[in-house]
Amino acid sequence: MPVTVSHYMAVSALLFAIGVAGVLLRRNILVVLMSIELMLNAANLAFVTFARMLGGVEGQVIVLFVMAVAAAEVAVGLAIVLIVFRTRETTNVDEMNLMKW
Amino acid sequence: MTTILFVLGSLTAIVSAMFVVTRRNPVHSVLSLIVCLLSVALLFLLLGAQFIAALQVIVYAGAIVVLFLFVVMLLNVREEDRVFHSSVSQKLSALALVLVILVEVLLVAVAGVAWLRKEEWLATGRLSFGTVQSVGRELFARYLFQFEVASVLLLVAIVGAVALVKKKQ
Repeated sequence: MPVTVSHYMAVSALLFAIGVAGVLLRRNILVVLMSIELMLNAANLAFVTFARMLGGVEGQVIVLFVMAVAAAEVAVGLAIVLIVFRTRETTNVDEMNLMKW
Repeated sequence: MTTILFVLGSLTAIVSAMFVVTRRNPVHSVLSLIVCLLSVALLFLLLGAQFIAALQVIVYAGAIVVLFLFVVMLLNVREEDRVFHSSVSQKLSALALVLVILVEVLLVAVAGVAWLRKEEWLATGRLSFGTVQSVGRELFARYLFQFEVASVLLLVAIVGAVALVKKKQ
């Protein structure tokens, strides 16, 4: 049975759903950020699948931009985690509920 | 052969993604994330996108995950006593939402592409599909403005991260 677009899309959908579950259910801020990366990877997989299906290269160009955006977001997100940890001493998202101390 | 590699890659990706979400120790989550990203790079290779696969390994598994590991080690994040702290009703509603999203995306993805002749891979014959030249040609000709904007975005992220973490004197 050949591997079709639907198989790749099913994998992408599963990865995305696992990422959503991680964001909703985990309380550690670092694992939440990692689940966001999982969701971005699922989207990248979908983009490359459609690029292969339609023969165009635009899908891969946008994957490059998605990776750049993901890198920027991770850098700023981890900086925020660092400075919140300085005052709160916790990585639990339930305890990061005030904008300013 | 491609089918075996696809099954291997996708199973590894999904299983390691589940490990990312369910491990108590954050270092284990980061290591599972590496495995997941490398499996997705294998899937990219199977799709013929060699440049994107190399970028995935270099940028995602080589830089972003290293950043995560830095922060995990720096903050000395302890192993948690329980994985899921939410109440039962929160867990159930989260699970319901995840199931709704999963079913919805699967329906759109699997059934919705039927009219796009999903049995064929249109770019099968073209050898230049995922090469650096073909992506670069489009990137620097047609999407040059977006490329420059992306570099400004990265600069803003660098300046922002440094400005955030800098201690005020």
